[in-house]
Amino acid sequence: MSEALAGEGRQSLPMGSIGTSASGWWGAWFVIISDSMIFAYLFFAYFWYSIQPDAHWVPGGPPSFRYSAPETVVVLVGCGSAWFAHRSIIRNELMAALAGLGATIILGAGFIALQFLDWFSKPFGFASSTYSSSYFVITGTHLAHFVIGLVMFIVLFVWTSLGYFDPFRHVPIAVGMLYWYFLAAAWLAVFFVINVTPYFY
Amino acid sequence: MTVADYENIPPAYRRVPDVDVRDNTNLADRLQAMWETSPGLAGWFSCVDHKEIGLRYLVTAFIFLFAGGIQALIMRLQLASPNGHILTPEQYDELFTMHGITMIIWYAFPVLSGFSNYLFPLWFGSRDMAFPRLNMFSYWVFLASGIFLYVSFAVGSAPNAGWFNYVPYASKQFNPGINIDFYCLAIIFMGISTTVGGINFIVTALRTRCPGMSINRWPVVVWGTLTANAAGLLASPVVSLAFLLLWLDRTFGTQFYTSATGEFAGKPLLWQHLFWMWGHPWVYMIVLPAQSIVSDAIGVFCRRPLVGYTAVVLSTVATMMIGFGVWVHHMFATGLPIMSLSFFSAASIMIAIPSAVQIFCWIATIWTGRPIISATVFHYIAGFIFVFVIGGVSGYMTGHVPVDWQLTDTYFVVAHLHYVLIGINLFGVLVGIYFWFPKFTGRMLDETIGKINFWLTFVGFNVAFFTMHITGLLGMPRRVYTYPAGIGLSVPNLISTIGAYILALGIIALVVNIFYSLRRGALAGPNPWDASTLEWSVPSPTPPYNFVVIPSVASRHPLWEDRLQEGHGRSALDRGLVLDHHHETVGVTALDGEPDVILKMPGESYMPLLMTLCLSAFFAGLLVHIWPLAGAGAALGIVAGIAWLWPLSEAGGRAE
Repeated sequence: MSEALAGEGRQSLPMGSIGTSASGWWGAWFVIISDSMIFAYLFFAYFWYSIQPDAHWVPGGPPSFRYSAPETVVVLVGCGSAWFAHRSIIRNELMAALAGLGATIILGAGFIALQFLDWFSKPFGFASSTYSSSYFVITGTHLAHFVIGLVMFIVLFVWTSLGYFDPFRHVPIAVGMLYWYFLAAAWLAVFFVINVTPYFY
Repeated sequence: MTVADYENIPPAYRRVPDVDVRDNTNLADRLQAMWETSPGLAGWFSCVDHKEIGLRYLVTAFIFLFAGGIQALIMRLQLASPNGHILTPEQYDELFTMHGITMIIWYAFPVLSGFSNYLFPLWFGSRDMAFPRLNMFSYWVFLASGIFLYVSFAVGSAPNAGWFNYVPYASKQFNPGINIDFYCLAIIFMGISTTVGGINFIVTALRTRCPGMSINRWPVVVWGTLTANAAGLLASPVVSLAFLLLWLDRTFGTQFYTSATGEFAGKPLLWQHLFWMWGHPWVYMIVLPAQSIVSDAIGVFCRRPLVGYTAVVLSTVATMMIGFGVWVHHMFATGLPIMSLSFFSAASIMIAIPSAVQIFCWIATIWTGRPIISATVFHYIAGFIFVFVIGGVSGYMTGHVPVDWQLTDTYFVVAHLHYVLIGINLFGVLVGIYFWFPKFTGRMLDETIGKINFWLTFVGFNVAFFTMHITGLLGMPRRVYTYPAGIGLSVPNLISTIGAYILALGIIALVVNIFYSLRRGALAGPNPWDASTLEWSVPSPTPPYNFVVIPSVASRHPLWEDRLQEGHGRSALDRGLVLDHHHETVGVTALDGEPDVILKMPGESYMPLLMTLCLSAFFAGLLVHIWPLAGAGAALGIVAGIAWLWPLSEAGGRAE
């Protein structure tokens, strides 16, 4: 056994970043796990306030779906375009990968614009009440993550057009895709907490 | 990856690694040139060697220990006699707050990261951590956030609301200065270090190990470190969030913790929930790795493998998991429903079970082994177990709601928490220092000074803190800057002060020993303790590349196989994979440790330092409300991050 381990009859091993065997892929998973906890604790605070005996939750009734519904659509379509970019690079279709990344960038920018419109449509400000402060911190935390995601996809677009990736060396695109899925999952949770749960009080 | 996947990989992206023997000096020279840190300041600022980083972590954490210790000694001077007036109440507030923050956040966890940074790749038979640059980044952020915190001292506005910083006292209304803002931002800054460091430890443990290093062959301390860092990933976000919300309250007038009545005001009690949801897991994070240092050292100094490896590992993990469900025991006196108190009281008391499992395993190891009682390391192990039991019993007592109602906010709790933190963290760290100093430096610590060091520390500690149980039972509240004469508190306080200064002499003896032994200590050789794990198979101090050839292991004690006669295979330490094209190490499958990939590591880089400077500007801007500075720091940080992550051909990140 030890002889085999020491290299007798050894096989060839892949070198460097091959698919998702790169350390960065593993690191990205743990970033996302830790990051998800921020949202979990934010929701803890939100619901903790909501169950206090003297809570006015939600002031003015459940928030409107006017912007949050299209945002949900945008983020889910973005999952598709990010996935398409990743699939294309694995098939060595460079132009299709660039198209996928470009579409994701546009959708990301669109989401950010919608989020700002949603903010400006609110009748309350950041410091108006515990609810308004919680609302802006929860959606703002998500928005900050989205800005990072947008920068990520712009950089991926540049790197891909410089020809850095091929069907084996492509882990940054895989990480980008994973991060977008995280943004989408986090958004669905935010959407559910902010827009849907008020109907159950 | 399946076999079919491997076969599809083009030949340019794979190779059959060479195999050679350990005694090949030519190979060792080549690796030395490849892995050595550049000389001079350039090397100092751009270095990514995990050993250098580990030592910097240890030294920096000890500097914070000395700072926190000096603060404590000044407070003990104030409390030595009734009606003391060495300090004003305001100064006393700042001192006990900075003492707590420094010790718990900037000393106790980073010091353990220091050991693990130096030793992880050595335990694993690997050449470096999974993310060398991230490793350096976590150190720089630890240092920068500590400096950020201590700037508050320099400008005369140190945090002053206790290390747990309860609102409403910490809110803008009652604490209008910049004091609390320093704490808010420093701890968020430090959280970045804890998080990226934790990710690095976890991925390293999952990936960069030598062939055959399956998870049941890890030293216990790997489990301890991993448990603590996994918990850090889950718990650190909540403290960052708690302090972010407080900072928003103080800066923008948001309504999270505001205490005014009215339908739109916040709730101060949420602060306590969020703080302790982090605070209690953190307590276990700073003791579990130290406990597991003892678990590994005890086998070496009892000349047998640890009794109950699996039981000890499972109790380590179980302690941490239960540790996420006990935070309300810090809030028994806040008027929560009795149902909630009962649940958290039961969970807190349950911690006694996994703790006792470990203690019985240690006692069984001593009982059935041949302990080397005369060794300083063994003195510290025995002292550790002794104080652990006392700290555990007082914790078991305060876990009961009625007892806690009587004792909360008295010196009894101060005694308990110091027994736990000094007892289980500092004594474990001292075990680690005496055990691994030869590996770090190539020289042994002096045993005579070591005994003086031990007895002063042990006696001073117990005199100072055992007395505090009595002070607390007599009713003295904590965090009060003085007490009147003639109510029976003068004698115990004087005894505690004397004990504290004896403890300080013990720490001075440690410093003397380190400086003496660095110059005059006996040369250690690779394995001075005749220990069993891989770090003792390489020269002391460790060469920059760690292992000439990557070993492969077949048991938990590769250096003791001939005498233990367990199992069938034998580890191969003198022959193995060469991996000498640039910085390389082998990546293995997560559970079984089968070779999976040749990982290519980045070399020296200034990016971690640059990124830290950008973050420092960001946090400084937030502190003094100069928003363009904060914005510039964030924007430059993103640019530095892009430059850092740019795919490199030599690190195997680019298509060829």
